[in-house]
Amino acid sequence: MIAALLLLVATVPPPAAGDGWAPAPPRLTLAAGLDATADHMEGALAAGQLTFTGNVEITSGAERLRAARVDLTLEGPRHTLRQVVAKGAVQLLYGPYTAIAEVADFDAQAGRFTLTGRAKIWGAGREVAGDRIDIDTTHRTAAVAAGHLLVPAQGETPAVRVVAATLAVDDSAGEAHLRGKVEVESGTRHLWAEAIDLRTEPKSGRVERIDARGGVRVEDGGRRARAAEAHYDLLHQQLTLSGAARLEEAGNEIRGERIHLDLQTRQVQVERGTIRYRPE
Amino acid sequence: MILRVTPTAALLTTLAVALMVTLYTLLARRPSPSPPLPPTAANGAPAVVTDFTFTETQGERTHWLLKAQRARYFERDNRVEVDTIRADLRDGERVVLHLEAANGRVDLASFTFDLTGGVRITDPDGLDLSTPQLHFDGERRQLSGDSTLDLHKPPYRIAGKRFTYDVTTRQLTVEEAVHLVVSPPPEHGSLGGDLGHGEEAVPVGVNPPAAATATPPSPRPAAVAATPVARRGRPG
Repeated sequence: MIAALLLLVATVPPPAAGDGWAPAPPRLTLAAGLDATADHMEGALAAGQLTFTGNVEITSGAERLRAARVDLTLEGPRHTLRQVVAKGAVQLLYGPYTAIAEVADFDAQAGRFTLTGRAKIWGAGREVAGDRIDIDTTHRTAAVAAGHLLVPAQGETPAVRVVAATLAVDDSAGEAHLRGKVEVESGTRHLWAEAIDLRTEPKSGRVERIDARGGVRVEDGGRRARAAEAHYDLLHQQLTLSGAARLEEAGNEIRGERIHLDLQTRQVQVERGTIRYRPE
Repeated sequence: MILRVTPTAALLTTLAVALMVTLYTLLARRPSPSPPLPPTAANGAPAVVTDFTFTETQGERTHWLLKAQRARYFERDNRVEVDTIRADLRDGERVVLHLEAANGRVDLASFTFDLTGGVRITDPDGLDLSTPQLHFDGERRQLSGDSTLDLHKPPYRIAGKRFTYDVTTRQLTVEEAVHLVVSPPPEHGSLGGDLGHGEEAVPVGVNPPAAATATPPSPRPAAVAATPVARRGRPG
């Protein structure tokens, strides 16, 4: 029975140490210069505003951007890159990642990288996709609308796929907030809830706390857990299911208004509940 | 007293009278008190002018000033064909663009000119554009070219097959096989080759060297010896 409860623990692994939940944004600087080709270009060089249309391809160092149209804004006497807006079948290659979208807006001044319209970033086993992906490059936060997040396998933990109406990740604060029909899948394990909040230790990336609310459901083969809410404190190895909580495994069942487990001592505390045990 | 007039003297005298008549006509039509272009010879051959200067003004403001070592004036077509041209597109006293070319044709009626042969455009802000041919629309104050261009304005370098440049808004449009290179800032090094910031600054926006304009015109038959200055003015 304890094993079933451990599902919640293992379902959402931490991101790799030093890495975030979401892929890193592109750098898009002029440090290595910039090379652009297109069918058409117009703009004012003095103002640093250039518009490229038709088979646009822009290369900056190892980063490569392709799109039907790209608006480029450079500013200041040193012509630093301020903003790049790409539209139409956008494809951006940077580092180990590939990003695609209908529109990509890289605002260096605001520290924001936004992809909209069937947006997706993938590479190095990671993947994030959705109708819209917002990455705050300064504060290392990411928000994904109507999308999913894929975290690669780490050690014995299989890869994790998270689907939600909105995914907000704050890597600097070590927080991830998943809202709206959240589904977390890792190997054979599934977790469903209306909302999930994760808290990680920012330096190590180790998950410290998971809070799931609204129709929480966990499945792993024949093992199932249900509750209105689930709170898991990884630091103290305490797991609490509350609100019509129910655990099932091989015909055994624990029901109660609140089920509390101490995973260190393996003690179970059930409030206003029943235990149905079927000996083998 | 009887004066004997040689044929050359007679020709010069005729030209001088014609100049005065044309000048009078122009003065009557234009507010600008400038010497006129010489008339075309009676047989339709162009009048040849050395050290030709043409100025287009609007009110008190000079729009462009074109100088050429040699010009052929076709009165019937109201156009001038020029060699070794240096032109300044101006905004009053300020030179906005400086142009140089081997050959050119000035349409005096439409305030336009076409330059060919090693056309080079520079401006005071570092623009240096080379192209085989160039058209300037004086009404729209727009430069355009239908052949390859090589534009350099640090940190930019642009190549393409057609272009337009609005002198007033400084808006540049390049079409077909556009290639733009932005050089990295100096501390980051260079992409290599000739694209770095270490390049020598291009002298831009300069008027033709004084020595060039001061070069005495070589004596030519049927050429006007004096430096003629044509001026076309439009109401401001």
